Amino acid sequence: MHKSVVLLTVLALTGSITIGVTGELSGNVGIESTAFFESPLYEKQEDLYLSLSTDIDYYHDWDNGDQRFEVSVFGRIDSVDDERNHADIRELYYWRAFNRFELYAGVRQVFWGVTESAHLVDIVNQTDLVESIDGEEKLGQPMINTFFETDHGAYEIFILPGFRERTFTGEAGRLRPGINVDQDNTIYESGQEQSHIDYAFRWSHVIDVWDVGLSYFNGTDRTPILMPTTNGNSAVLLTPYYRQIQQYGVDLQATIEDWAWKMETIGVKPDSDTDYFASVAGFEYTLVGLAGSSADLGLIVEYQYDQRDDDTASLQQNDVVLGTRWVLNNADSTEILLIGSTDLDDNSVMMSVEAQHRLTDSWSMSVEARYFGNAVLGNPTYDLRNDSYARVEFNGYF
Amino acid sequence: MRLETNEKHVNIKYGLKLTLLFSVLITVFNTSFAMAETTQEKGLSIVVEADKRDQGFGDSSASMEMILTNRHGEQSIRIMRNKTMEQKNDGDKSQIIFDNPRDVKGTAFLSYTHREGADDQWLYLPALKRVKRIASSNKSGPFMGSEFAFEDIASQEVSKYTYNYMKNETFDGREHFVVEFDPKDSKSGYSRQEVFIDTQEYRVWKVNYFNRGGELLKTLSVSDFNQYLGQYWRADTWTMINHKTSKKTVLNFQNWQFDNGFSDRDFSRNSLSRAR
Repeated sequence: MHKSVVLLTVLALTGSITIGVTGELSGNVGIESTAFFESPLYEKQEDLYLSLSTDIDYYHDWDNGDQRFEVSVFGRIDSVDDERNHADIRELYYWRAFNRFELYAGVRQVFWGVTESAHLVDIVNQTDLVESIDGEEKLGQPMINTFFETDHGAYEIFILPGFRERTFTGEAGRLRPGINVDQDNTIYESGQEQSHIDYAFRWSHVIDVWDVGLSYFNGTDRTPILMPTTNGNSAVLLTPYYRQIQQYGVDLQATIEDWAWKMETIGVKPDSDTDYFASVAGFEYTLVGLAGSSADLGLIVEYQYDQRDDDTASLQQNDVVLGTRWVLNNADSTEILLIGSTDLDDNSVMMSVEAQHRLTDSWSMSVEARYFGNAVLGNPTYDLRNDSYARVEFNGYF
Repeated sequence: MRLETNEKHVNIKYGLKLTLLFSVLITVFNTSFAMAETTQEKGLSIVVEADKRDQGFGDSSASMEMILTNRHGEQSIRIMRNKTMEQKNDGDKSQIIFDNPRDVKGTAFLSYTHREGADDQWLYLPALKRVKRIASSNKSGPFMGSEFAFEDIASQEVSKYTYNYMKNETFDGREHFVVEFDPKDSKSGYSRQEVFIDTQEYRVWKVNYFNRGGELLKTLSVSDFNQYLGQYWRADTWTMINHKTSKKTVLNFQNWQFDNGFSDRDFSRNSLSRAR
């Protein structure tokens, strides 16, 4: 952990002795079981994985709510995969509001973007890939950032010291590349490696029905290139290589009656490689009060384009995504999201179901199932051809 | 639209002054003048008066406990906090933060109501740290699985309905105007509402909601009013009964506070992620 972060934490804790404070400890414990339908492709992998996880959050406000200290810690223990045994400081920051200006210092999670099936512009936090392959679980990122809100939009500046490596499933875990990722010999383009200080800007604004965001990032790419290498025992491994890039991002949503039109586009300029762009665009249309009931049915259509060739890391280079979101609006807040995507180049298919249901005031359950089909040799999903799975998780909140 | 209604209100006031001046001389004429007011005009003037009496409160906050009871008598409880800030030339800005059930704790809902057109709404999802703009046409949907629809708890704007004064009715020892509210928005879940407003303080005590088929769907009963800042009335208990499903939702407000000194920053899309 960075010294500046520790120092700020101490400052924040000292500050918390001041009167007029409010704060609260909360969190949850999760019990998860993942079952794979087909036999594993590699030895050490199993058919059933069990794990326990916990989230613990604490925050503390003082100075009439103009100062806050927040900490959020996550940890998981997995019955099989060593790389899923991990803990992370998701957030640990000090926040202060000045007149029209806000300052955050510490570890934070920041989400940018609007689309459902890909998160292209969202670059600040590293993906915690062992948690979920949907890219929505993130590691905490050390940062100092300012926030300035004006009548013509919000301006943010991010200084990002301390790079976080992407987590990868271990040898015994499922949903991994056929060749293991060598997480001990990561290579960086920058001589400063993990100490490279990245920075980013973002402007965002609401103009009538439009939510608009423009962003710029300069630093170590969050997505590594996995390069086949051989180790001392002549075994082939994939070594993560993190390039230096500049990323320009646009995200746009127009919300008009039952329609939400969405678009994210990035232009990426690697320091020592060819420029490329990627885009995802589509809509979500909501049928409110389906067939006279109180349920809503959302229809999601998105198209993903990536200018790079198939052999790079992106799974989403020419894909159509169709989905439905079924929200029952009942007392137990039951929701089901069904998504199917197909690659127009090779016809590989991925289907997923995510559902949530509340059991009691302090317990909820969620189900996630994914199916990988038509995977052909040469497509990244080929490695997942036997990894269709169903996962059930119970969460207890305190 | 607000300007228009204010002008109308000024005219009504002026009319009252004239009435006072000449009341002795022209009682008969005055009576016939009042009779000439249509039921639509009378309905509008009652609502404008009620609206006027609630203007200028600035901001308010309260905690809310929502008790949902299904037809078998089983209960579940929601706990929320709510903040509202009045806008000079537009509808109110408001925010609701959820505390219970625990799986939705930290979820925050922001809405900007507008006098004209659709409202703006955002939802903050704490698990993803994501703020999502959501379609506001979903106003007829249930709020948190309760018998309240979004449109029942949203800030009411005079310009969103047309009005028709029906009659006066007395209950619980009070006299009420009964005014029909007809929503202008075709996305509303109701064909009309019968709103019971007391003739002394212009508070809403009861609402009958009629579905699109014209049948009585729900009844809201409001009670336990307290006055704040020597002027503004707020009710602590709202009871909604759905006649079709026999389900009931009771919304209890506690800890009403005014003069919180809220600013636009407390209601910005970006501040949702910090709302707790």
